Amino acid sequence: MTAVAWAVSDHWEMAKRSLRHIRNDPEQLGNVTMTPVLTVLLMTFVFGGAIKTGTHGSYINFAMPGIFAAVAAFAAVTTTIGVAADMRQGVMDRLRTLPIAKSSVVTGHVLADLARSLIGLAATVAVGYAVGFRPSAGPGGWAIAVAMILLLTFALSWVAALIGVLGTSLEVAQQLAAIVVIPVFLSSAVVPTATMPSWLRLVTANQPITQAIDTLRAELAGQPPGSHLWLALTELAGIIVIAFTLATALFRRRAASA
Amino acid sequence: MMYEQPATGVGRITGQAAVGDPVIEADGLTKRLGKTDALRGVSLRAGAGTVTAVLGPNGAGKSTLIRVLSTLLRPDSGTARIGGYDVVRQPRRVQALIGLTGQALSVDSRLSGLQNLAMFGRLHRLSWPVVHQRSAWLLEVFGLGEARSRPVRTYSGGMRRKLDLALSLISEPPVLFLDEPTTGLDTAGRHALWDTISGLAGQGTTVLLTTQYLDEADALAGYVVFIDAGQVAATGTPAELKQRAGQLQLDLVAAASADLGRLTAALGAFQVATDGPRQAVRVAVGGTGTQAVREVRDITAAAAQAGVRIERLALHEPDLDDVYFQLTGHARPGQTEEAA
Repeated sequence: MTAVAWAVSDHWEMAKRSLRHIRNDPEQLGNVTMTPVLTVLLMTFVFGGAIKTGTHGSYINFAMPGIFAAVAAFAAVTTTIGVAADMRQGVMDRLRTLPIAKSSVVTGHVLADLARSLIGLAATVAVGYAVGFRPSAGPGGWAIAVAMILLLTFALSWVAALIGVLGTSLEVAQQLAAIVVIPVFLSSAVVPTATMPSWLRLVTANQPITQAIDTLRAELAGQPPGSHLWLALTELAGIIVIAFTLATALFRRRAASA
Repeated sequence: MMYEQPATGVGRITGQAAVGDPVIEADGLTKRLGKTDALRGVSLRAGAGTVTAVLGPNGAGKSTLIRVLSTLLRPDSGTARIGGYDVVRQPRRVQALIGLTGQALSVDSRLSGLQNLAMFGRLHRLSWPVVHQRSAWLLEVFGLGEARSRPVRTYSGGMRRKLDLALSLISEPPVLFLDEPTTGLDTAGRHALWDTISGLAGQGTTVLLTTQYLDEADALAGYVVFIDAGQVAATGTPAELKQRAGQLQLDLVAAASADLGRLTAALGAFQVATDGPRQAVRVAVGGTGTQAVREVRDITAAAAQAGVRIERLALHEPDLDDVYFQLTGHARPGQTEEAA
């Protein structure tokens, strides 16, 4: 095998490791399935009657794309904990004495988050349908929507990885993980940003998660996403580049001084 | 346990240099960790197929030394080469040669034993057939076959240790670093591990291990490096070190304190140390073999002639413990300082 093929194999092995953690420890999926499912029920039966969102028909059709973004964030949190735990466990010593690209340890967690996200997404969609979620998107719209959710997961996972590397202890990392989830609620996830005060709207209406959610909302409603799609792609790409660079560089440095 | 030191054993002849090119070479390694100088100029050599034991009390710098040699820590100064490759400048080359079992368990407890072996085998860039073959063999050797598919978190401490070592061996590394490998193992497990380590050395693997157990160093190592407070305090074969620790000694314990004075006087012709609290006299036995037998006879004859009541006597051959306590300056547990 060539050096490139082995590097791909390294990343695949590390992703497989994280995926096997899901199989051996299915309870870790609780975060990514139970929370969004409960949110769907909460939004439908508790808040749904009180929130008027204008042109979107029933509230559940408006809220679902926001809940999908929450699924992405909850999937990403696993990476914070996974990376923070790895840095403090003996297994890191063994990984560090292997002749591999050390960043594959982090990348493995991030790649496995995509699977967690898809599992959470499936559970959320199923419950959504049960309570009246009826998107009008065709297969093309769905494909773009799923791809957007995976891209959002990927971007948030790298931010989560960075937090995992920065946390001075497992507990601190766990608490800091909220940093990944909070921006989901400072977006158009559950209410239109137009209802917010203008100073807040400046952030919430323009941040990448809102762009991603607005893209999802348009695609699932069978409408063109307009500038939201391109803004989402460029903003998320920017986040990925920055978070990836910082996370892998810091991981190499911190792991070396452990 | 039978253990045959390979013919090329380090230090067999000169007490320091390796025969042929050394596989492990360290020169003047220093490392400061926080406020302590963990290593203060450590040098050592080990030749192919030898077992070297690094002995020392807690905090002596044993683990730091292993971490530097296995590329986990960068030394502040000094150099180290494994198989001729520099640990700082060519870490990948070094990593391809070594296996490490650290003090903290280096297994993924959320994977099964087999999944751990397969993962690390692949990360060591072994082909799948080789990974399968060696995993099966290692699970067999370490008696983990039954538990192969269970998550490691359900394993006992001893089983985890064994898996940890198996993971270090998956790539059949020519150089093996073991940081206190038998900690947490029962007696049977320790002896099984000793056999495994000896067998590996017999096949040409160079082993560097740290241990707190002196009998472990005695049983396994052809060469012992004592370190204390980050410095090499003594090196040599176990036999050389024991010789350095002193002569054969005969302990005579008097029945009453009144007898002790007379006993000491009666043995005036010999090299005697009196231990008041224990009512004992420790006599150095000169020479070896037949000469030592004669000397013991003369000592006991002199004691008997003086009419001293002796409660018991014991012959004490120096062991690595003596070297250890002598070098580290710590009092031997259960033994008071002798008034020489």
